[in-house]
Amino acid sequence: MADLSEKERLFRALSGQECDRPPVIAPGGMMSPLTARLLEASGLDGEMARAGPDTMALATVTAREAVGLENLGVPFCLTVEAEALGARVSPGTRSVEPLVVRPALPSAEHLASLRLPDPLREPRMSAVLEAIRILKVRYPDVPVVGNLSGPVTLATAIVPTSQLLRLLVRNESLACDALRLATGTIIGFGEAMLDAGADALVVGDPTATGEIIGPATFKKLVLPQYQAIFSAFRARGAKSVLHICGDVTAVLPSIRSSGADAFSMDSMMSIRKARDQLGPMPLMGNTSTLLLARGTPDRVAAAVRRALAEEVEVYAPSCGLDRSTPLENLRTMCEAVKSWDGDGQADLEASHERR
Amino acid sequence: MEDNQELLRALSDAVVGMDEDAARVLAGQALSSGLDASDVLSRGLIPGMKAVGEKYEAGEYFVPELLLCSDALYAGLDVLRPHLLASQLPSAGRVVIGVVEGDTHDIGKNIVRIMLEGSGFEVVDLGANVPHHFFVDAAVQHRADIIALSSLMATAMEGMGAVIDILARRGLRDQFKVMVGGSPVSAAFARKIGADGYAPNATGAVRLAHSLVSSSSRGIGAAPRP
Repeated sequence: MADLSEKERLFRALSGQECDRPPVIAPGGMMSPLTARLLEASGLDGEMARAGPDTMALATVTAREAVGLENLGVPFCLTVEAEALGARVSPGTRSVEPLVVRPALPSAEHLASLRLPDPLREPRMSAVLEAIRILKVRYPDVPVVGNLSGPVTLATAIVPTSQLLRLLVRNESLACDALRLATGTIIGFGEAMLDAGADALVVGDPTATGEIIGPATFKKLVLPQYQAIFSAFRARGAKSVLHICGDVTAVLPSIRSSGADAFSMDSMMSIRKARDQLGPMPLMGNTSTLLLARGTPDRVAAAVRRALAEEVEVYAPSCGLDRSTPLENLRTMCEAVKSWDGDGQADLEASHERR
Repeated sequence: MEDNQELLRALSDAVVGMDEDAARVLAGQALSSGLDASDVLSRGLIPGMKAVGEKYEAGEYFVPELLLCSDALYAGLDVLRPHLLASQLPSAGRVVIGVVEGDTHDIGKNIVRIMLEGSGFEVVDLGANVPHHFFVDAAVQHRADIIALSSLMATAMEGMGAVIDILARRGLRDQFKVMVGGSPVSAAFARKIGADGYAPNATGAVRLAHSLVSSSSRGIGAAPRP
């Protein structure tokens, strides 16, 4: 098993199969590995919402090679699907990622005016697809991750957030129309990513945090969207990961039945407690990006070893990296995973209580 | 009097029940039955919103319900407004809020804004990735009581101190209260940079905002009127 390629290791980890050690990745999307130093090193201005395929490929390759990540991934934000549906986006700089600044519609009443974007014709989507093709040709043994918006996050880029939240309680059918448009867009783009050669898909849905919506509404209106998305990807034989930010304790039962192969969590969540609720679902995470940005290399290594001792299946930062994160800490993070000897006793006393 | 009590209770229930139409109708009925507008506010609408806050803290209500309850509150308030003196109008104060430069994570800030508005604050939302001096300029321009700074990222968190430094350099530090929040932020960090307060979550932020402006007695969530 020592001869696993990076692609095989990630695939096995996401399938819940045994590995020599977890892979160490920063998938991209909302969990972008780009820092100001990395953008500078690759000569990029950081306007990643305006980046063409070669620029995207260059950025992810630079991130991988500079610190030792075991994946490649595009895009680097959650604005691609939003912009394809008509939202206004600020393009990003070296110090911040692109951001939706105005939703596509002023009101959900106009939902019927929107059409599902065609990933092959829509400029930003097709640029991402071309980047995936470029990466696949040049790096056949490295897993290429396609990153997608989650349905709640995308729905709040279609109609204003406060309106969508009201509709979830007041007008379920209109809320569902917005969510279904988001879901259809995500499925179409994700399938096109798989056609282009993506090895795994990560769906990032920060706005779906259980603290905002609540478990009952989540189960009734959001869970069916996840089930549609992940069953479509599964039907294509793809491995997929769901990431939701914040405290998701209240919605863990829904996450378990989402159909995602793995769940990626924020640093505020305990891997052990999540595992109690999620059963055999492989987990991804979850070192604090604040620690990665401001901690010493020693503290970073200790935090990584703690996550590994808790038997996280895929090691990754818990969110998008702070743009000021020093490269040394990221190298330390990757090295700590690659040199993991599987002995977590020193790092986690109660390790035998798990599972 | 008995009837009035029931009317006020029904008004409170309309807020808790997210029933905008009922809140509007009941507020009108309360006025025509001879109740004073300020009593309808302080004994009907405000107790309703307090109960809503309790349901949120108990995990019974979430943000969508809070939004709809505050819609009902404002529907009732619009009926009362012409009958209230300016001094009785429930502006708890004015808040300038934004995510500090270097960070685009605005979900937490949006929730705090929604909840501040629901509890009677006028909120000027500067958005995300806001340059440090914009907070100060906007606070001056809008005569804010509070500057509320949000950040999920280390870089932006350090920028919170820069906003306070700009206030000090312009001789404005005493004119505005500064409150800070966001997952990497702590009470100790808030003290270190000289902020006036820190809240770990949205309900805490609302309580903090009320306490920061409590020198004025305008607050909708402030102590009951004498």
